[in-house]
Amino acid sequence: MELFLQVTVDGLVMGAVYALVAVGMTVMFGVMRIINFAHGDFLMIALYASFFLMTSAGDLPPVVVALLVVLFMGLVGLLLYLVLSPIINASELSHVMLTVGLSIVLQASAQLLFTSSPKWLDAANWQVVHIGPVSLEQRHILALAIVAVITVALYVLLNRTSYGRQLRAVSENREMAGLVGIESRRIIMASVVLSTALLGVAGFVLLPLSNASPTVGVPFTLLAFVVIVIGGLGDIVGALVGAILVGLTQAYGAAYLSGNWGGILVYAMLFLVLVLRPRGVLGRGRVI
Amino acid sequence: MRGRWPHILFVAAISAAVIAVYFSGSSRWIQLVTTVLWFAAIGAAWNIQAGFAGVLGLGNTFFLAVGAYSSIYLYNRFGLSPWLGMWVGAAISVAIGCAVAYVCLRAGLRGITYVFATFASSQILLFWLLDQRWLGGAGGIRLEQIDHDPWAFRFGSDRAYLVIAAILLACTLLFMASIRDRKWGLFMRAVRENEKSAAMSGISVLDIQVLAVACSALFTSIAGTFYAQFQMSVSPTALLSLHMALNTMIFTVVGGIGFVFGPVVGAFVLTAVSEIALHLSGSGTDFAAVRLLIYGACIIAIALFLPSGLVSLAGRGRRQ
Amino acid sequence: MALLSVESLRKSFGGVHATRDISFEVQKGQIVGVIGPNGAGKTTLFNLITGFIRPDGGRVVFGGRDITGLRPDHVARLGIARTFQIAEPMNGLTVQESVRVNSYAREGLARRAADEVAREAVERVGLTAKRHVLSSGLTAAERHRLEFAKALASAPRIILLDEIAAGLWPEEQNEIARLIGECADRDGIAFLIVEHKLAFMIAVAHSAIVVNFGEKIAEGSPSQVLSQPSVIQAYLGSEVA
Repeated sequence: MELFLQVTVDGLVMGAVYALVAVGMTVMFGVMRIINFAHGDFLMIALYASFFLMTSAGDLPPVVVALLVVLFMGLVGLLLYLVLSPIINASELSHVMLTVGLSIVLQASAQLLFTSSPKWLDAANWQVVHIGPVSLEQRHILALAIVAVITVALYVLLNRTSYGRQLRAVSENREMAGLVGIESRRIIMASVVLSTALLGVAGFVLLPLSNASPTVGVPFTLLAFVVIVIGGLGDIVGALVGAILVGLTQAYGAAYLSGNWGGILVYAMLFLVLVLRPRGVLGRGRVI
Repeated sequence: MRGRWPHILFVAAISAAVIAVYFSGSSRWIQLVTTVLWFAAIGAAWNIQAGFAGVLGLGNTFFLAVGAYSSIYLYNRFGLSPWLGMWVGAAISVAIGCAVAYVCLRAGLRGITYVFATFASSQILLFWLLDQRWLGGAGGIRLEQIDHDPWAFRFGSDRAYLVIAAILLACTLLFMASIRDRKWGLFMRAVRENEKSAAMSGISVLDIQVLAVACSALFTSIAGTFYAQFQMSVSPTALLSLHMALNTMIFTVVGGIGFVFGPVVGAFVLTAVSEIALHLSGSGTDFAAVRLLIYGACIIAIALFLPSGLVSLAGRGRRQ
Repeated sequence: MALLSVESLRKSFGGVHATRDISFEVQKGQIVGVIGPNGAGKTTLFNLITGFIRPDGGRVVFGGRDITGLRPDHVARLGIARTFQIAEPMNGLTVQESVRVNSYAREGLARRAADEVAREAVERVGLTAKRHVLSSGLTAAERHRLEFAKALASAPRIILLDEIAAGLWPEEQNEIARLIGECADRDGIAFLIVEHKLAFMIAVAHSAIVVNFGEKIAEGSPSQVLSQPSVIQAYLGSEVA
């Protein structure tokens, strides 16, 4: 029972990280019909940024680091938008080619700049908190707390602001949105920046739990895709639900079967959803 | 035979290059060109599904792995010649390939979503293989060193592999050239152009897409067997990595997707460019990373400026 | 028995009634026009008949057989051809290859015979000189003729034409009208034509139905329906070619 609770908590923590990663991917799909194959590699950038800021001289307080990482990733998002904008209306093949190429370039650059040895944060300082039979470290609590805050912020953003309304309109039907005067280019740009900013938060939260290395982002790209298919393509609430499901499945699979089965189960879920419920578990996904 | 001269010249040029390398006696060149021919072959196999039928998958490493593992395992365990084991691998590849393609395409996945789903299927195989000790787990399987046994697909000299790789590529290209203007090739190309229009022409779109994947799986699987025999070992991480998945598509994309000779052009050009770059950059640099950087930059450039690939520069607006 | 019989066809998209209880018939060799303002549901009607969308209710009966909800390729093989409005349907194929796709898809036709059928269809629309040109290298009129040739190569009993006269000069329109008439008279092919150019419609069609907001509001000969007050009102404010 204790194992179950512990594993559940671990799964929720990872699920929280996946949520941060996946929401950005589903938003970008919603407005552009592009799934960024390099999505996880931008997470990798955020991880490196977090690492260097945390370990640099000056002993910056974590809150400042977090804000700086998010700002930096926001700028990176602008660059990404510039690279993507020529091909937004091009063929699917162009989307695949460009984002795959981007992924390769980012990984290779990281390798050349930082070598392939992973960069870890010194774990000695993390305190452990015990809640009943479950032990949580500060970094886990941090992850959960931040995601909770972000979720609320996202809710407000999407439902109470004009950006949110316009985003939903553009997602629904870009042409119509244009006809009623919504500048979809600006919405798309804002969405890309939002995506990478969320990846910035994810990187900051993830670094204590993982490490920074050139290929660290690859599994996240794929996992994010699985999350958004399970949750329904383009649906943000679905992405959150999907992230939790994936995080838990992976945790249970790894704990009760073996490390590799965690991965197998997650991908098996992908195919189950595709066969049985292509619009996602909540049924609110876009028909592709 | 309209305008076939460019094709004939191209084939002649490549053949001449291969023959020159064959007689050069340089082990390094022979191995390099063998690798290039192999890349062209797996690229050509991918071209059948992607270039002809428009099915953009990134899961062909699944077939490579099945082809590679089947032949090695059946040889080590039962002494079955890889020339036969290769067909077992091919059968499994075609069966599973069709099943996965059917599920994904039927669910409406296209373009990048299909890319992800097929890549995911290859990762399932990766995780499964890592877990199977009877298949060597993470370490994979090795072949014992034998000198020369053609029946066991083992040759004393590198040149034999060069020839076999050339034959493999030639067979794949001949297959493509032969179906291109006939019924199945036309149907595939129509499906790629416009699924709705193709359906209204009377084509069963899903069937054609799955057929293309089946052909792709067949040739890729055989190439996987070749890989196993050439490398004398197989491991899950080498065969099913993202890097290998990119190898299945990048030469075709850069060379010209949909063109029969696209993968050949792409493989030769990209290899040449990266070899030159590595030569210039001197020792001490991370070769693998530089090569990847060049590949990535090329594919981005192609995506932005020349989506039809290098071969389209030669055509007078007419796709081959 | 009517060749094509549409019976009480209904379709809604999220609360919007795209098609409301539409019924009509097309006889063998008859040319029926479908007119109505933009957004009236004409293309939806075509999509429902050819199987790209499933109706919420009603039936489509073709040659005595219920074809409601059958897949498009199945519908095509049963003898219904359709042209599309889209600008460049099959860029990478030449005219000849494009038309061959349709003839090869016919059941029970050997390759030689299929090539011959394709060749004849291309000749019939006057594109023989351009048979090796890529579809992307054709003019708008030529592309419409290509679509027509493809339809002919399928040896259909009825052809659904979706704005075949769009973007054509009057001489080109006359040419297409002549082709349509010839196919109907000589080969007994029926036509269901969606068209905005009313002059073209009057010249070509034997009868017409008018659709507005998904409903059939008039039926009769083209000049008859176009003089009806309800039809004129439906068009008020919209462009009339």
